[in-house]
Amino acid sequence: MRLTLTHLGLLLTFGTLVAAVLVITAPSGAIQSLTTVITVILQLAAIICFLCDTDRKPH
Amino acid sequence: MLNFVLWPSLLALFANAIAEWLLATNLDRPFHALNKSERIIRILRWLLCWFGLFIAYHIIPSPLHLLPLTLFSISAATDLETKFLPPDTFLYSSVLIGCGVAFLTNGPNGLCIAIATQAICFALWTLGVAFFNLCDAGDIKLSMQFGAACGSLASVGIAGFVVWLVACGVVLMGIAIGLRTKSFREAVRCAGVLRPPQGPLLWCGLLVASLWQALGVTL
Repeated sequence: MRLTLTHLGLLLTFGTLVAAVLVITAPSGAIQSLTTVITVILQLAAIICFLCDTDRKPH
Repeated sequence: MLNFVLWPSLLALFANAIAEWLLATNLDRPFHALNKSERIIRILRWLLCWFGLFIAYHIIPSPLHLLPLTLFSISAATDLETKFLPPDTFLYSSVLIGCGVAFLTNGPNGLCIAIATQAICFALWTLGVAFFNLCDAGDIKLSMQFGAACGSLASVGIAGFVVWLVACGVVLMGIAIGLRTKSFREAVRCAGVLRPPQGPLLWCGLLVASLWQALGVTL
């Protein structure tokens, strides 16, 4: 199986899901802020991977 | 009393006007070019949008919280008729508006929760589409706006909102798709499968989820 940017995007999407759950379950404000930033970075990276994949089909 | 009529009416008017403009320009489906049955469907869609926003405003009496739903209903309208979503800029702006609404109403904590909920919806939808291999996993536009709409709503509400929303959305989608194929058995069979058109069905899911949220608050 050939690995594409979409596969990487899916991996980052899973990371986004984990980070977002950590935001909701975070006990303190500082940890919540940190995990929020990580969530945004992972999600943006996933979106960039999807957008850059030339094999991507339109909706 | 005036507010309960004014705000949903204005937002529904706005949503229908933008949807009509997008359908007539970007997607090449002006009202005068439709046949009789297509016109009936479009008029029913206008009424559904009005009805939905009235219900949502009755439950969450804040025009700000209705704004993400209004934006989402525009893409649902275009998806219903053409299977194509509005331009990227519209959808990405909707995400920012959804998170902005959460920040304005609930401050930094509301923004954190909105971002997290939006990310969860985005991830579940993207992974779901990829898992069922129904369309491309990079179909992120719908994922983002769906996430923005419910992310903002969740920032004012209940922690279990997202889990319930996803479950309800899947069931509603299955039933609606099954009814389109004229078989109740097919409806039950499709209940666990996601298929396009997603936008209108998720719009229905959001409305039902809003109702659940209100029930939770009042109980």
